[in-house]
Amino acid sequence: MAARDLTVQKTTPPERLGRLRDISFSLKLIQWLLPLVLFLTATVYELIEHGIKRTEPFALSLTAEIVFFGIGGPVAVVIIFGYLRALVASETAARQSLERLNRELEAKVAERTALLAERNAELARANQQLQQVDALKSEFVSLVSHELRAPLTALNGGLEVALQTADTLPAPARRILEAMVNESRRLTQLVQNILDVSRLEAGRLTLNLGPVAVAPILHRSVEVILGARRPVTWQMPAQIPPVWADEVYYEQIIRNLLRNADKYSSAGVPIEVNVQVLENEISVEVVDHGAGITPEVQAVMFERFQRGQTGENAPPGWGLGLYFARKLTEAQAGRLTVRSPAWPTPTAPGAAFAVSFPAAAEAPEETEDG
Amino acid sequence: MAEVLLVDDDQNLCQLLREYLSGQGHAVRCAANGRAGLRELFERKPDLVVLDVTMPQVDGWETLKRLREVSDLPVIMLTARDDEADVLRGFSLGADDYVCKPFSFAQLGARVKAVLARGRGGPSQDELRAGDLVVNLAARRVRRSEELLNLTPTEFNLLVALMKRPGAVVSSEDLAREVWGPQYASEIGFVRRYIWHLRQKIEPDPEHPRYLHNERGFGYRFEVVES
Repeated sequence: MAARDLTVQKTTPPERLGRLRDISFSLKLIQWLLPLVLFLTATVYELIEHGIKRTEPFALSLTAEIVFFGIGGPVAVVIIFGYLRALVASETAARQSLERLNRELEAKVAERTALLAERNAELARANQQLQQVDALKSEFVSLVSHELRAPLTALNGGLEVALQTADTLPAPARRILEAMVNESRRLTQLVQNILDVSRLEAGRLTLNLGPVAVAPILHRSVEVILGARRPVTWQMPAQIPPVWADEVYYEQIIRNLLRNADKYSSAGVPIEVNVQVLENEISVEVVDHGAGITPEVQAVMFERFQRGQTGENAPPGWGLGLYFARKLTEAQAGRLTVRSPAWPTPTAPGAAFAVSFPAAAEAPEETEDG
Repeated sequence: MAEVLLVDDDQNLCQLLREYLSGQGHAVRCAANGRAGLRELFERKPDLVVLDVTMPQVDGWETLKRLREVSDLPVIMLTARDDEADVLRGFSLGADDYVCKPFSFAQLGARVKAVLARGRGGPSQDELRAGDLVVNLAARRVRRSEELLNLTPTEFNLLVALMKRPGAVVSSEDLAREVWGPQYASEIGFVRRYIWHLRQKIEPDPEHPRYLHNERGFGYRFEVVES
């Protein structure tokens, strides 16, 4: 963020202060000159007037009038102008102190602005470094996953070769090899997922978009993930338009939700699969009767390496599933949301994961062309 | 018995693949890098080359380029990259097929068999060709001229279902049954939508289809019609 320049509106421009000083000087001049002129005028006038008339006792009336007009008037003028000067002086002082405060404030603002700019530059540098580290990390993960694929090929292939003649192997060796095949498959899938995540983050995951019929994918996924182990309650309209998605990744997202629901449900408790056809999208909801998800966990569960449960009794997993599922959904203009509690039962509030994808464009009516 | 030359710097993988392919009835020789591979190639004249992309010294691309200057031997590229650009690069340099690590040996074995059959001029079981369209059934890839078309797995199945019966009209019910399974035979709405989207991907001009034709009230027909 660029630092904003802060400025303080100047309340008293310097030319106005100069004018105030000029007025003050003029008032001082007038305060003393005007009474002097008044005194001289009044005195001369009275002397002339009394000299011409000579009718009244000269000294008394002359003195009284000179005192009254020649001294009283000028004194009043001195007092009034003194008062005016005091007013102007206090105004000048107030403005001067305001001016000083203003200057101090401006200096402070400039200082803070510079500081802010410096902090911003530091933040930008730190941000850039973080981005570099993140890019490096993604590159590293991608590189490692790439490098892992070659030994994994040899590992899987070796097991495949060894199990070609499984009948001739002693039973314990065969069991061990078969267990290794399963683990090796898991490892391969994990490496593939990590690679996909790093590609998705780097914006290099190629999506193969097309129409995807929802019901066949749901039925197949339920069969593969749950089989006959767990009952499923279906709520599905008769006609579901295909969604617009990457078929492989769409199925992966659905399987992920089913696997999670299965993982966090007690044995034999059914899972619900609800399909809703909305205006321009199709929503698939997978609802379990598990222990539910607290709001705190809901807030972070779509982030990397976050697990619903941790500790020794937690179901196996890496905490990448939901993160990848949401990233993948969003990359395909879909939405993945969670709602928990899903049921009013306090002992088994459960969770509902809903994934919505846009419907594929409707084909226009065809004419015979062949 | 076909002779297969395996060029890969991963000695463990070479040894295991030799074991596997020998079990499939092939004679296998290994070379640890591109230069040794080219030498073996000139000395032994194998029937097929399986070539790894990432190798020290002369890499797979360079080896393929030099190999193509003197020979049109079938080549399967073996690599840890599966980006579309790499696949296209492989095809443009003259690779016959492409397998991404980690692959299963059975998968590679099937490709070796298919590419060898094609090389002998025998009926190719893993490839369908019509006009500019080339469908590789083992790799599940579709090319139009040199362009790789991105079909979803279901679109691929639908195209293959029609291409396998060129010129014949296939009903929507049969297509739905074949592509999605018997329980979806009545979902003919799927078929119409999928065909429309498939045309957008494979037809040079979807408004005037060259490959996928509609037989109103009956179903669809795959036939190359020159306009």
